[in-house]
Amino acid sequence: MLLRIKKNLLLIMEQQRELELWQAFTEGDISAFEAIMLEQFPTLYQYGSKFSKNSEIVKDCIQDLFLYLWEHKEHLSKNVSVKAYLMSSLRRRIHLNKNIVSFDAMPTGESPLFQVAFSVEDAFIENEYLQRLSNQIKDTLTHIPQRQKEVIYLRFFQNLHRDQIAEVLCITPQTVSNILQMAFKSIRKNWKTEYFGLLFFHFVLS
Amino acid sequence: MEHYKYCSLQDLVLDDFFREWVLAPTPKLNAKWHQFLSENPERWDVIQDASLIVKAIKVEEPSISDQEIKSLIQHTVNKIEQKKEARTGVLSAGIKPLKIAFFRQTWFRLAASFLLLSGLGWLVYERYQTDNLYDKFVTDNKSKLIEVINNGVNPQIVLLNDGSKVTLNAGSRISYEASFSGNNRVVYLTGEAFFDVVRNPQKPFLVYANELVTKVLGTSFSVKANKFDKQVVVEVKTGKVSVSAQKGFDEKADKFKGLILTPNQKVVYDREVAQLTKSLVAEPIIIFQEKEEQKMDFNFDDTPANEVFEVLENAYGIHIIYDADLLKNCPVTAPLSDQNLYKKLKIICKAIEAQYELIDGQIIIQSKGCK
Repeated sequence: MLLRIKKNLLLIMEQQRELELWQAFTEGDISAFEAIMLEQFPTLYQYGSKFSKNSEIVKDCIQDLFLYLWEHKEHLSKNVSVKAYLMSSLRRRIHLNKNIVSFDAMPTGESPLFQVAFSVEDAFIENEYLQRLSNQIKDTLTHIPQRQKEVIYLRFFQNLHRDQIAEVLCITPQTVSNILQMAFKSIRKNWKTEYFGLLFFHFVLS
Repeated sequence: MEHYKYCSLQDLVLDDFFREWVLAPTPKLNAKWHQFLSENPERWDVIQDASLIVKAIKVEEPSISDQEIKSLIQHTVNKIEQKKEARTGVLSAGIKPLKIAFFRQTWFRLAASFLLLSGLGWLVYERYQTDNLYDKFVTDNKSKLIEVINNGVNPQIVLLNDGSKVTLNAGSRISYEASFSGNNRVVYLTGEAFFDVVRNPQKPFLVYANELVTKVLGTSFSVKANKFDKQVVVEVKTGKVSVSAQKGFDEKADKFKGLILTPNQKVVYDREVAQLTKSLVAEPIIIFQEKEEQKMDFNFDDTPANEVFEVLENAYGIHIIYDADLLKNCPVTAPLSDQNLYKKLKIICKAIEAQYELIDGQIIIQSKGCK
């Protein structure tokens, strides 16, 4: 319990620092602006590349986003979750980008797909049973609906919190929880079949 | 932690608190989970399995170098500058009716050059601003300092007055007192450097780098403290080093409150959360070569595992925690001269069905013994 509180405290301190940087930027401090770009670029690039295979377009979108923010800095909200706000803005920007739609050959009017490839690093696991379980999870993650995939990605691989995910996807926090629960359910369901399959296997052998 | 006694493998894999420990462990998280494991040793297997799964499942991310990011950012900043200039130009141009194209007029050219120059000046100023912690140290120090800046692309060797040798990486700077007349030998660093310090117990050697102070009597170690990095790292090659946060550090105090590092250990200071974490370097090297030359072949033949670990402990100077009584009955036969330390540990642990873990710069062997 105490650890949780401590953890939250660190998180709050970190958010406070991010926010101070953000406020300095909205007041016209260009070195704060550069620091924000430096901090957030890798995440934005990773996230953006899930919508387009063309890395140049993704880089362009991120740069355009930052240029836009600089030009409209006076009108930006001073109280935001920086990472979530930037990811959300990038997502919208990519969806509006005609180049991406044509490059990735999407039918007009449809938003680009969120495509993410999960993999299992075999080097970590020598035990065959665990390897099968990991592959099972990977396969489940690969086949769940796009929305669930995006939420899982943001939660587990970008370490965003529920409220931040809600902000990125423009949905309510409750919906985020529901989507996560649905994804967990799929993982559990597929896992169980695999697990019983293995048990059965053992039984037949012995 | 109560519910972790009963939860299943998949509960663990999907659990935030557990994932955080596996993917981004901190000493506090380690302590918490190790306490849990020592109270519930029967959970060891399931926790081990779950952590393997969590670590194994990855997302394929595109790679982009820091260099490229920096140049993209520079590009964006340049664009902002250009727009600013263009706008100022257009604004002033609107005041007078145009007879000749405004960009051909002398006043415009003057204004443009002025803007360009001030822009350049500002960029240079920014460059020098980047080392503010370092600058602060240097201006606060009242003695006469010598500064060495490595603007080249290769590491540069700097010999200090006391005979100590500093290998300064490209793009790094150090400042130090010419004669080391004070009670301490003080060096300020921004960037990366390797120090080979001549022993002098009367005059401790202090390196100030970002938020860390490293204090040694005589040893060799490296410091990485770049302005934009999120971490400050000190790695020890030989001897003993103590590292402390610069905040609250008092040069005159007798007691140096900090972490003690021994060879092959490193300390990472996370600048965002202001926290020091001790761990092992990526490639531990063998340290006591001359002393036990003949024993250093690592070719074990039916050697009890506890003796094997003793040999490794002496060779690498890293503390290994194991139950000698349990491991007496675990013979190891393996030629291990060519592998690095982690590979050696992996092979030994596989042979005796044990697991190893790195915690706070030490190695912990978990074994149930052999029959």
